[in-house]
Amino acid sequence: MSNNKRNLFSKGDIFIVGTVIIISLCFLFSAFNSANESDKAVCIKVNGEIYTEISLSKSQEPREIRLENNGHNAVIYIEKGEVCFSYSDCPDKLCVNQGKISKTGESIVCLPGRFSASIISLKNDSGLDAVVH
Amino acid sequence: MKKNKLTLSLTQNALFCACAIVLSIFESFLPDLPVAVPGMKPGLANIVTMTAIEVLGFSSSLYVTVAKSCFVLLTRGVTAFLMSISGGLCSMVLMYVIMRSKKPRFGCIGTAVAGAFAHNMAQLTMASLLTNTLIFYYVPFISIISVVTGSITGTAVYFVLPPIVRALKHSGDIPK
Repeated sequence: MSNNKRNLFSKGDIFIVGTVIIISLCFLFSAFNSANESDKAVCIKVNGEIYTEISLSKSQEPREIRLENNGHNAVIYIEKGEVCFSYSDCPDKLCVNQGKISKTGESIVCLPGRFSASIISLKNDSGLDAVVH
Repeated sequence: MKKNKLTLSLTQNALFCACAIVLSIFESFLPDLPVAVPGMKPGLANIVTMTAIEVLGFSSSLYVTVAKSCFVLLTRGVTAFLMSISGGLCSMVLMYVIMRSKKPRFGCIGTAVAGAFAHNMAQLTMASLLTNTLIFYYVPFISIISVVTGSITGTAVYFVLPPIVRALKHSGDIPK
């Protein structure tokens, strides 16, 4: 039990808030570094196992994928390189509310049914754009 | 008058558990924060956890955290329980360590921000494990939200703590 009253904000707090912001900037950098790629695919997993992988393109016919697991049903809708959960019978509907995703690294997760859809890069990641002799 | 220690701590723990559960039910009626990740909540139950750490100590705050998660298990199922307990335990342990620190002595906002961040990161990790999908793309959003929600709950704790400490000292339930 402390005897003196705790401050609202102290010097140490700057360190905490600063650390959190620096962590966020590190992840921000790595996320947007790989955001604009052309060869993308959506990887759909059910119960942690890959269910299907579908490559994405701007000129894509609309497509629906029905998922069933754990007594839950969901529908993933893919159109013009964008992916969303168009239907889910889970109680909170967080997956449906998240809307569309299209950038590499983005993902939608429906926890009750253990469904996930994430955008992956199809490019062979050598880390080099080109090699010049 | 000699007080029955067991009854006292049982009552205190029960009171704090009730507060935490009521706050989390209240929170579920609030609309989602309008951000990239759906389902983000301000984490009002963190107010109770922080108060419990400060006033009652480690074991009581552990009871509160576990009891709240067990309530989630009964009402919302196993998946929600795993999310609740992972976030709850991580943030509780981290906040305990931070609040024990004498030098530097951290303020309410810093502690709450760290707790919110630990809570969110643990839940993100748990969601990743459950679906075997890397979802750390959302870490930047979550960190910024942690700073905002942590500031709110930290400010609440700052105002809630003194009256509770005063009341408990007055009744002689904690040493003066």
